[in-house]
Amino acid sequence: MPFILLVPLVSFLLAVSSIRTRRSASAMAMLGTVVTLLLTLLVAWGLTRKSSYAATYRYFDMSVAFQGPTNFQTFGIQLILQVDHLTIAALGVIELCIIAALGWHQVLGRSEPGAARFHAVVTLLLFSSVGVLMSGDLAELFGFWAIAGAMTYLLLEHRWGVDVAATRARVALALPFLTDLSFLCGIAWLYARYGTQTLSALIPILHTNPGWTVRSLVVGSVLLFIGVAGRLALWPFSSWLTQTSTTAPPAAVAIVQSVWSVLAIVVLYRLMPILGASSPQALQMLAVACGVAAVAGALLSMLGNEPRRAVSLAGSGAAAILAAVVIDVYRGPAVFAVAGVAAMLAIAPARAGAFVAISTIASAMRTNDLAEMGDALRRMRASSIALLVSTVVVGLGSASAVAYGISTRSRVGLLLGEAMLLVAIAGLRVFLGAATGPLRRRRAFEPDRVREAPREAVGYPYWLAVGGVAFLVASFVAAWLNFLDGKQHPAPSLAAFGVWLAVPVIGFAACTFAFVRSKDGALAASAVGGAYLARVTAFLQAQFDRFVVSPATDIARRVDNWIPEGDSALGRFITTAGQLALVAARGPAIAFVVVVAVALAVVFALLAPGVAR
Amino acid sequence: MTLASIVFQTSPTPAPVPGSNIFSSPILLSVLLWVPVVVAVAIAVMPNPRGRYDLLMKQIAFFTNLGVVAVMFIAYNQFENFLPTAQYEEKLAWLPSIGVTYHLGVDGPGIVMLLMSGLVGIAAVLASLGVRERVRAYFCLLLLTESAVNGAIVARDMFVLILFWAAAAVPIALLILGWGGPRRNVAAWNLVGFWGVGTAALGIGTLALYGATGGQSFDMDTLLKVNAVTPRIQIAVSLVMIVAAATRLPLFPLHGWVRDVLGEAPVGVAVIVAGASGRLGAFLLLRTVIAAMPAAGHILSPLLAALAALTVAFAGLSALRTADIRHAGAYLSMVPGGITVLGFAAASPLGIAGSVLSLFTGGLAAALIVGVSATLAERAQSRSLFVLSGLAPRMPNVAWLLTIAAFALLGVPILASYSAQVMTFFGAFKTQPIGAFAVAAGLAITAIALAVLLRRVLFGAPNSQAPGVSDASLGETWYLGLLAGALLWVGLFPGGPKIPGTDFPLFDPGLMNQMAAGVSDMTAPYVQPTPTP
Repeated sequence: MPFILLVPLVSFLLAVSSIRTRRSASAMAMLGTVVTLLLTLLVAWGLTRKSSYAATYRYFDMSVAFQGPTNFQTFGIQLILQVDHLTIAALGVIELCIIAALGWHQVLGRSEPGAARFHAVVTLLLFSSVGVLMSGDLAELFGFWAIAGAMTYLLLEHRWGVDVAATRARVALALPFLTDLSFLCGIAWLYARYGTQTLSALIPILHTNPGWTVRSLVVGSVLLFIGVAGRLALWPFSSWLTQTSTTAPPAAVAIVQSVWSVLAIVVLYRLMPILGASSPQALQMLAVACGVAAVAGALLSMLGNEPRRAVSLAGSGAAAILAAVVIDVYRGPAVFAVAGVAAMLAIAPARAGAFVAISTIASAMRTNDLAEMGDALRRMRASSIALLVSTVVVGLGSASAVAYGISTRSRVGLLLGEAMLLVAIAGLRVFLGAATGPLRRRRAFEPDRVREAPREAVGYPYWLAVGGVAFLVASFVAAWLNFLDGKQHPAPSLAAFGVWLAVPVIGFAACTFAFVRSKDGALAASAVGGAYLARVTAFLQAQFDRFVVSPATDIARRVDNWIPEGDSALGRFITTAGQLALVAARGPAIAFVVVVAVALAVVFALLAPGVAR
Repeated sequence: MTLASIVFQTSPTPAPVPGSNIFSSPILLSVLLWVPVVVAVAIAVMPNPRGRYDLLMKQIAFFTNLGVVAVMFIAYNQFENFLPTAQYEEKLAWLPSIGVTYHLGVDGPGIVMLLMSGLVGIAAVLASLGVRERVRAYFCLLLLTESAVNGAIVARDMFVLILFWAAAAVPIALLILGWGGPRRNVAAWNLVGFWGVGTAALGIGTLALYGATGGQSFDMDTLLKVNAVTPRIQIAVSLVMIVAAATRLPLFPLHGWVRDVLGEAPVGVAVIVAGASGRLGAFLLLRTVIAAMPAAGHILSPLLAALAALTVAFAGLSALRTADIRHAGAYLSMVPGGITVLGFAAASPLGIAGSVLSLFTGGLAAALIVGVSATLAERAQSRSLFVLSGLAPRMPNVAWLLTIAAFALLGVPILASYSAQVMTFFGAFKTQPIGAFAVAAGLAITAIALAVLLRRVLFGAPNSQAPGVSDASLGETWYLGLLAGALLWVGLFPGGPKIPGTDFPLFDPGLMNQMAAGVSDMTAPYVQPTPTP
């Protein structure tokens, strides 16, 4: 089992130490990922006989106190590697997404710089993803989480020679770093109260450890949730993904979206016993926050005509719906929390497939504006169909989870229903904008020269979409949920499925109707909305720079200048003192002492007249 | 008893580590301390007509340091981590009329500091191999600096500590004046001024303790006995000691020397100042305030937390807005000090243990960032961030090392600073959550500053107007690689590598194990009682 973790690491070390050409780097990364997938399947076969595997390696243990609560007398970090059905399924999805993205990048990413670096970073991202999924110790999990975060940043700022790409990638560092710090703070907060960060030891004592309070659990839960939400790119933490969606290599963005969708939802699922132990009000608040994020993400997706940003935000909305499901079911018996994870296993490859497909189309049509695209269904049929299937999966993907876990009569249900409708519209809008309507001639662009992607690359988004469909169908089957978490799940009624499937279908219908009526009108409305959003964003950014960033750096600059001014005074004083000392050393000693004594006496007399009297 | 039999004696107690029992000596610490001084004097008096023996002097300095590090490593291996008291003790009466003894010894934190000082020292020598002018004087002063820093670490008498503490400033100032950059005068006077204030504060605090404990002895076993003085005196002395530590570490607002000194000093001097000499401030805080005056430690913990947060935030902001890469490295070198002080502010066993570990990791990280910034500036023939751009393809070694330095400052896993920061933050969240949040926010600013720096210098578009660049030389790669390698080694094996299938350590007993000696006793006054349900 540890080989699943070691193979991508070895692949990375080989990549950085010896490989320099594009082809060999690509082959090494692909080999490493495929071998990891084969090992995953091997472990999956072994899991047919056992329910899980576990291995523990001691990283370090240290005795810090001889007295006080037992939990706090030693501190250690264990490398706890646990593999169960859920881990294997999640690993399989991640590996398939990476293989497809790498395959697509081999053909259509030939013009990207730094091939060796790109593929090395991807293998290290795979290594850290495996570590996150297999970790049973929160400090260990955060270690792998941080490595994955660093590799994500390196992928998103890959085009380092381009200033705009490097500038936008700063958001991809700063924003997730803040949320990751929140994650670390949550782990530290829990440790400070319970004295352990091993999940298996922490969960049983959440309500029994002396000194526990609801407040401490709520604070810890919120901090952990912010950490997960940041990496899921839920609104308002989505800008690190949207800002880099056009400046980073498409394969990099596709990998990042799919990998973090799976990682974050699995980690959220595993942390839910902690969040669930806090309070029902806190859970409701977090679920509503996810619902709001889903609605906001979908609405923002419809403002503006940049297709890759739209696809990213639609996927973010879908992820928010599933996060809400995972959280909200814990207000009750929490039997169906795994349904959210199962749905994400469908949405993750669909997000990657949609992004790669629309990138192919945008590259062929040489535009990043949906209003200038069109007729892709005729000219680039395979890519269009892949895009269609992927966006439908993204739109429908959350239906199964919501059907399992959310009541149609609850407020959260209403909010999530609205979100599902908007996500469906937002997703299909991209397909309809790119695939339907005429492709107009533009300056230096001839529509007849638009061709489908090379055969070697056209299959990858298609197979990602098919994978998404397969996992989507599985997510509706109770037996799949039973397999994932090893528990029995009663199937919900067909009526529930019908209601929740109808919502995105209505969204698809509404979107189709709008585009059939007037594609140009629909896209023009989005363009106006996007322009307005850009103005508001620029205004807020300017205010933030003016009232936060500039004063802070100005304060630092003033303090930094103030200190050398003081230093100069100090330096002058020292110099003067030294010169006086030299003079005194050269002059007659007794005369000097007499002069100094008289001077001191005068000063003393002036300052202390009572003594002089 | 001949000198040889005194120097080379077998250890009285068998040590559990394979390869131990090589040798021990009742004057082991004195050997570590005075051999560099003797060699420095020998170099100083050696004839060197027209610089004919410059290379020989460099080799002598290097092999002296190598020998010292080897002896340090043996001492580290043979250190008994289950004993809370000082080991390798040497005690001779020196000025009995005022209670001064020549008393040396190391406990867990001390052996960690000594090892770090040795590594930084040898890195400083390697970094100085490019010196061409007045080589004899340079290496003589460098060896004296290392000796003074080591003396301050192993001193167990406050009078001796003050002597070594003050003595470290003189050769450093002379090195800056003699071999520094264009603003070397300003830098040297800044150093003398600030460190002079710190030394004066240290002296005042020591004298206050001396008077309060009866004026009999300067020995740390007397002066720094736990709760030996009243809480009021503890607070007063602690404030003075914080001033002394803040000038050396440094901490905001007594950090004014950092930019000029680390920006103008020769590379080797900057490495040793940022690494080993800077950590003396934190070591002083640990010895005097945390270990000896827990009442003051509790009361002043919010002040320490505030200083830590301000230091980290200021360092990040200043690094973000500076246009000089050596200044950026200088500011960034303040970050590990802030995190160390946060651990002290935590006033909890885990936080303090994390701070002890961060003495080692922070020293190496600070030395690494300062060293790689200086090396990059030299190799690229420019310090301006407006000129340096897109250097990674042409300087791959420097690029990797700068990236590792950035990761070390941020506490990225696999590097040793990760364990230190995890322990520090975990320990601080219970008692100083606001301070911990504030330091975390400062780290976020530091991350942004590092990202901007890396992007601009390494990963941006190449600047066609820039002067020609060359990658780091073999010596430069070695000294930076040594620092990075040490961080990586402790990061991968914090408890030491074990023989597979056993718990038997291979050749490194593990830094976490060795540093634990004495930490539990230091943290005893800070243990929180079990909450009642």
